[in-house]
Amino acid sequence: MTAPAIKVCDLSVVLDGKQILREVSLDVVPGEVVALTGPSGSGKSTLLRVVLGLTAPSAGTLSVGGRVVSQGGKVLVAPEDRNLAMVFQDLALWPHLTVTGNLEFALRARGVPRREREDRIRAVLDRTGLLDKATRRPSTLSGGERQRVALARAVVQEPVALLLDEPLASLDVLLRVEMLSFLREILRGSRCPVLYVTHDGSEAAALADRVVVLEGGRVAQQGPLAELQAAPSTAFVRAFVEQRSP
Amino acid sequence: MNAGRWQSRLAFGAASLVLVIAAAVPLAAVLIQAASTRLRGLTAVATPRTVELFGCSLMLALEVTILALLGGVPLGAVFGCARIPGRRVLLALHAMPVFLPPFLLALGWFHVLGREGLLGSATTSEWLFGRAGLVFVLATALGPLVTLCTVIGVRGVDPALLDAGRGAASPLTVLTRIVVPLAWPAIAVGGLLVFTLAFAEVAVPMFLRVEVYPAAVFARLGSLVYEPAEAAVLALPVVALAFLIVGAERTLARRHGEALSSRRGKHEAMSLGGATWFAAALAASGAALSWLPLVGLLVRALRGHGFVDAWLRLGNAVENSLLVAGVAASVGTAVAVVVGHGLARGSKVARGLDVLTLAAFLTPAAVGGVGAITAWNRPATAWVYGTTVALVLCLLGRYSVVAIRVFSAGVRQRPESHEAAAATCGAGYLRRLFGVVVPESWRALAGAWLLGAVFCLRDVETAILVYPPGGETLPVRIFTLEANGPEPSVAALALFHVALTAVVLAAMAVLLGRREAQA
Repeated sequence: MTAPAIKVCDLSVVLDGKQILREVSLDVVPGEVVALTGPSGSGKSTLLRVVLGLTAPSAGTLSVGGRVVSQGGKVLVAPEDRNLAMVFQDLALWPHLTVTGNLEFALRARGVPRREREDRIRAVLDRTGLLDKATRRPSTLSGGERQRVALARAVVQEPVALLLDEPLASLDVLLRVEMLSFLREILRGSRCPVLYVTHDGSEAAALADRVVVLEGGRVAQQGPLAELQAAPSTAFVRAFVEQRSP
Repeated sequence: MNAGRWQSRLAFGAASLVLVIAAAVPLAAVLIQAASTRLRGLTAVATPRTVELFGCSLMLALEVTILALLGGVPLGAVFGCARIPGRRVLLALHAMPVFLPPFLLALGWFHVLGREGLLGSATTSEWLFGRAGLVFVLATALGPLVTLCTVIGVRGVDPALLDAGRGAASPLTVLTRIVVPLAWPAIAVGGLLVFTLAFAEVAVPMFLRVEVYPAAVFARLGSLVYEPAEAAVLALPVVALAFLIVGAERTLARRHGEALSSRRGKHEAMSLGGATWFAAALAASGAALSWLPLVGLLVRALRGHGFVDAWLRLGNAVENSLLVAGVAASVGTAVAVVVGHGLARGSKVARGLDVLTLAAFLTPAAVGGVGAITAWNRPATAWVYGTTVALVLCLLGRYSVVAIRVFSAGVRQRPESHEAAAATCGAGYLRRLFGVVVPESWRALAGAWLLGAVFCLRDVETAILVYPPGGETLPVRIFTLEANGPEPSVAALALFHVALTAVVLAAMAVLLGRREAQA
């Protein structure tokens, strides 16, 4: 049996005295896209930050690529050594670097040799249709182009797993539809396991193999979308699975 | 014209009048005085020596700036976003010298590195009383300004950009390749400030016996040589330099926004892993370097039993300091409410007044003093020149920009829609200002008053030129006593000044602390 790319086991998080996550457990296996959803404040983004290593859990075990990176409230592996990549909700493109600079930063930091860096960047820019924008700064790009740069920056790192924090939330309806099909194409091409935070049932239906629903910091239900549709355990799950494409 | 517009014009008119009297009149007086001397004045001062002195002073200010940047930027990056033990306390300790007269720190370094100092020898003493010593003392006194500007710049960086970097790179790489490049406009403002203040400094070079250009202006207003016309001509290149720096600062603000007023979210301090202790040691060294001269003063005061004698020598210097600083800060804050709010909301008049006050701040005090003497030292205005009013006006002109910028930064953080909502309810300008803006930004208002008061308290060069008989402030008392007073008493007086400043800063810290907690 294949080891999970991300394995979360009884993970709890307390921030400023407030319990954000309670004994959350989930797996993301290689090649799988897992949609993480839940109402606002249910702890979705916190879970992604914990997986990436930006926030320390207070209890539980977290493994990435078969390696325990955090256990019993202790961070054992620093974020940069987890080989994960994340697309942030506001994209977080570095404004002082060009498109190539944004992609190159991560590769240089990971010690990828120059020749390989150039090849990987060119290939990813080609796949994302950004080759002619390579020397542009993020501020000169359109919303959709910026979205693609953020995705390219994550994919070029060839991470153990990809974390996406509502990457399409800020787009208008038309661009969202276009980006959704683009995202599906890129994710299929990369075969990289993905943990994808979304509020949108149609996004989950288009991309995810499985859905994990968080409510009040706990996993309320998880399984393939069809299973959730057949027997939704809470009102939120019912509302979520009943959403249709925009 | 509606009542709101009248109110706005009246308020701006009053604020403009105050600032024109306090800041523009002295500058104009210098220019008129210089123009009236024509070629006679020019030939008297345009000697190879003065040209050389001007160049040397520019170089000196540049060296101080480079040293301050080399120390201040890494410290600012560490204090701004690294998780180290005692970060806030260390930053407060490191930043303290910014709020003290630099000559007081020079005095402290004398008790550390002077011939009989704590760590002193003939070699260190010779080094201190020279150009290298002057650069070192000014860099340690003004360097924390770069640190503070870097901290503000770093905290203005979107936290998500740091998080995105942390996923791929080590904390050190994130600091050097993302945080510092994004914070550079604020760092540049810090560098400009240090350059200007280092160039304008008179008391420290005089104490360390290094000739500098502003001191040449100052020297022409002494009791032995009194040549205000020559001083005015000498001041011209300095005024031009001040306006060049104002232009540079405004260009930065136009291209990159107000570098020292942005705040984009709550920053979580970044763990530096194995480098934590190195960063902590760096921060502790920064704090120690700031406090070492104060320790030198303390040891000298204690060894010579200087506190009792200092108490007797205090006279009414503390009262004078508090009175002058209090009045100047209060008027400055009142002006700042109108101008700072206008600046935050894009008023052209406010922008013009901001440039005027910035120029007055960046012009060396000796030049402002020349202007004030030229403008007010005449029979009709004896009630100004012969009293504390002249000093209050000079301080108001020089430091009102501090209050304006602080209040403006506070207003910028508040949504404009709150004022628009009040306007739709029929509230006029004054009702919006005092019913919405001031109550919402009262911490910024208090901060503007306190910071303005601290800058007035630390002033030596302006005060020494225009203080009235019997009205000398504490820094002036220390500066005059330093030449021939007993060392332990002077050291103790300097520590009284440190304590006075610390009380004001503590009040400010309590206010800011509450603000953090509420955020």
